[in-house]
Amino acid sequence: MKKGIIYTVLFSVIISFLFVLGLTAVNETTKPLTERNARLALRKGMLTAFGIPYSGDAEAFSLFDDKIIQKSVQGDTLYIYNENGSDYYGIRISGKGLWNTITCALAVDQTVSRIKGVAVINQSETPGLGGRIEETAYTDQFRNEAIGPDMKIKSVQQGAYDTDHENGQVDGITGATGTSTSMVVIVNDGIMLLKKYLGESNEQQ
Amino acid sequence: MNNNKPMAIAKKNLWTENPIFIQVLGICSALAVTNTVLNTLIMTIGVVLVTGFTNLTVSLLKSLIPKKVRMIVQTLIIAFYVIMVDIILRAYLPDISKSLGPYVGLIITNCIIMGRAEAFAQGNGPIISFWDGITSGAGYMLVLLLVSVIREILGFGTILGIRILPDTAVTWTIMLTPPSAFFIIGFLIWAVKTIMQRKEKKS
Repeated sequence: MKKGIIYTVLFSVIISFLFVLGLTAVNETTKPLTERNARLALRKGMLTAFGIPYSGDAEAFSLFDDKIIQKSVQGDTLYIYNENGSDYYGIRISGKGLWNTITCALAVDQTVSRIKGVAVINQSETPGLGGRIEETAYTDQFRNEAIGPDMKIKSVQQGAYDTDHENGQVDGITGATGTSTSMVVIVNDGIMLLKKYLGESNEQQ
Repeated sequence: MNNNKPMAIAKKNLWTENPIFIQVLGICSALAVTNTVLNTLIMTIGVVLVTGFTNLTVSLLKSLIPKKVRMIVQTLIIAFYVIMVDIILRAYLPDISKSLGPYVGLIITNCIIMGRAEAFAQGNGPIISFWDGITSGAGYMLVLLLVSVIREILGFGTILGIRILPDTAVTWTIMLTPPSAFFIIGFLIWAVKTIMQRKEKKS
């Protein structure tokens, strides 16, 4: 049966409307879950950056609320954790990855001379390549890494993950130079921001 | 209509007309997502579901869809199911969704799905079309899983993250990069074609 132009236009409009309506309904229904996942990812990221072990989602929520204090600084949120009498400071920092924005949790000590830890909260890098920045084998390179006087961490290509935590260097991921460089740029931006925020709050005190 | 029996369709889609081996469709994603078995498994389950439900929907709507906008409507249906898979993964399997990154959205561009909608669902009933979609997706899944098992073992020394090779084994960096899938699929096509030709000669 040959269908006229009016039928074609009407059909196209109605079917598009119905499918979009269906998607909107599913999206709205799953929204609370997606938002909870985002909150959970931030909490898990911060706990990992501060080196606080947790098991399971419920514990991540409760540990975060118990141990981490949030403070507003220039419209940004500063996360503070006290371990054995020493304060550590964390922020959420985002930057450009190879495909999309990478969001990390970064924690440093009070004098911003050493990184406490780094964790990836959100990324869309190439699975199996740049996506490997999430693996602890990669992020452990930042754990307790000394920050040099130039306030920068360097990404090097040495073929094996860097185990020296005094040299201010981390090894990139083979085949994912772009993402590895982005990670270090993001961490360095975070260090600068924390330096600025902590400098200001120390002056206020 | 012997060709439209469920078993005949399954055999055709999984073996004699396998989308990857024989039709060489969906190769881009075959190169991209096969570096780990878990990513491949979730991604191909997505493709199986999208192909099945797209075929079902196209078959149900085929008498209503105007010929002129047929392909646009098919794309709309495919996009609908792919976004659905993406939303569900984000809500219920956030870790997998994170590790698959942009590839879920790219299921839309997989030629197998529109190929089956156009070649089968347009001319057949809904149930058998759904079966055709599922088995076509399974044919794709089978090959990709095989490639991903080889790549993960040689590239990481693991399967599904569980260590198989000893720590001392040297991993092949090339297995982590897309070109390795080209070589593996090439070898697989060679092997499958040889088996098929031998069978033909015998019969």
